[in-house]
Amino acid sequence: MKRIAFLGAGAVFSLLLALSLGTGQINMMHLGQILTGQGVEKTVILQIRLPRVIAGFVVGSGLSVAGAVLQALLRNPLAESYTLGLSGGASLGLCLGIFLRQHSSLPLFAFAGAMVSLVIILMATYRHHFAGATLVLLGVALNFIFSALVLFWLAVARSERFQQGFFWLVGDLSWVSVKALRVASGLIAAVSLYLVMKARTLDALSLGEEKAATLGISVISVRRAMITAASLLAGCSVALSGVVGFVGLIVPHLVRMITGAVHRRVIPGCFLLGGSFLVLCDGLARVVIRPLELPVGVITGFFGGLFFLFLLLGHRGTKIW
Amino acid sequence: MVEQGKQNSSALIYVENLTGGYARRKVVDNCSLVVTEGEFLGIIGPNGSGKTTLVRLLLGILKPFSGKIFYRGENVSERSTLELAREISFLPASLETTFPYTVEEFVALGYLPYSFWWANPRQEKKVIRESLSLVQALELASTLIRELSDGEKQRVFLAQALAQTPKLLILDEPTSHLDIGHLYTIMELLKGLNKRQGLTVICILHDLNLASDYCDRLILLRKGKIFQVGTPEEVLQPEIIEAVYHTQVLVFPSPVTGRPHLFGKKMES
Repeated sequence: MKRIAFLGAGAVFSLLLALSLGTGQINMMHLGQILTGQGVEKTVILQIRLPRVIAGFVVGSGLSVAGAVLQALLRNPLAESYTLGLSGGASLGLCLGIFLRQHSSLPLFAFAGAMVSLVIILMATYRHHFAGATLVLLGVALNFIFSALVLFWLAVARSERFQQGFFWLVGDLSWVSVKALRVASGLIAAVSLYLVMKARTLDALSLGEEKAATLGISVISVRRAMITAASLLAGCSVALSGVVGFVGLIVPHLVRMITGAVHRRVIPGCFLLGGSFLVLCDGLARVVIRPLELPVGVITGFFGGLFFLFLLLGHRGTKIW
Repeated sequence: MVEQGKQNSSALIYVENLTGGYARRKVVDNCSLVVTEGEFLGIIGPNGSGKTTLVRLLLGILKPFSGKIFYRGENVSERSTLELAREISFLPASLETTFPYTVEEFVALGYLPYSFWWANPRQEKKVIRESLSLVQALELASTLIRELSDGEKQRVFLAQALAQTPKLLILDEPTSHLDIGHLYTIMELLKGLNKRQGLTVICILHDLNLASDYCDRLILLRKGKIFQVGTPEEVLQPEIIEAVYHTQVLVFPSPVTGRPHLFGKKMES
């Protein structure tokens, strides 16, 4: 519990830090002063930075929680939010949206794309009782098919559309729409809460399906519920930011190192650390090559990857998985 | 005998013409049997004779093609998995230990059928402690599962099965990769639980001498059918063993338990 509180404090700190970062630098200590007063800076913070910071937080949370769920469900350390073909579906949805010039409803296109993958996966679990590695392979196949179609579109798209598509495909938080943010953050919070309540089921499933069944779990329906929950989380995240990679893969591993492996702590831990992680990455993305901004996916991939590599190589004796 | 069992009030499990398997392959073929409350029952038979499949059917993990299973007189197919989980606990031949749980966290998963968000955490702690002390593993409580030896692991797995506070414990080859010391530790633990707490035990065993020493009754399977049921003396006879395992044996009473022990006759070839 202490460790979750520690992660919570970290989350508050990173939210405040991220609010003060940007083109017009604000001292973190003065945040309270600015917000109680009246000024241009207050408008900048509330209207521009706050939605972006919140979006960063819920996207990071959603991806990390989804990653933790899928790693437990598929008993696979490489599973992440997009494993079941969701990123491919979302990317294709985005490209379709850009092609149709539906710029204001791009979040909807991304979400719909992710859900197409979900429906295909669920249909597969109904027809054949797919589980574990087979599901991962199915997701990989879906991702390849969708990415091929995306690449086809990129190859023939005109340059300004290419640029826009590119930002979405690597993940970017600069075009967050407030309407999408409201819906997506509500959904991410609700699904995460559901997963905290179902956390022990995830522990049981990680023992193998046979054992889980004799512990009183209806494995097949629970598996479908968990796949749906993870997909909703990833779908909402993709709708807000495009495809931000790597967060859903590493954050669950980091959280398990901090809180231990019991999902009652891993899920809240992922929510907090995942959110903080992405908010900080986005803060970095805004200041690294000022006044230009990088898409946040570049930062998560590069610095997240370096950090994780450092952990893997530096942590003598501690196995991550 | 099967008909008697149906009326017998101490029948815990009553199985009638059970047939089942996977996809198109029939593995268990028309088996009928009775398990009496409080007994230590061994399931033996060659590889592929349907032991594990029979156990899966009994547990309800696998749906039978035909036939019926009654648990305490009620049809198993009409009871929820949760209800069954509060009565029957299972220790599979291999358990996945994907995550770095501590022993205590791992054993706590056995309490899952009773654990809801409104449940009393103190009661759960108590059950976990009791289960760990039953297998003499209290001192391991905060160790990580992956740091345990195979022998310790098997004891902890058993503790997890006991945290389910079962009336019936089903084990699939619990001694398969244990040394002789740990092997007897586990079997003595099971015998103790069976004798002192009245826990009914069904145990798949490959080692026929071990089965003979510890089981009240044996079920011998061959090609999915029950070939012989009875006391070790009734089942472990040279001609029966030869018919099922295609190997010649001598049978002598064990100097320790007095139960029949088998000795293979293929040494000189």
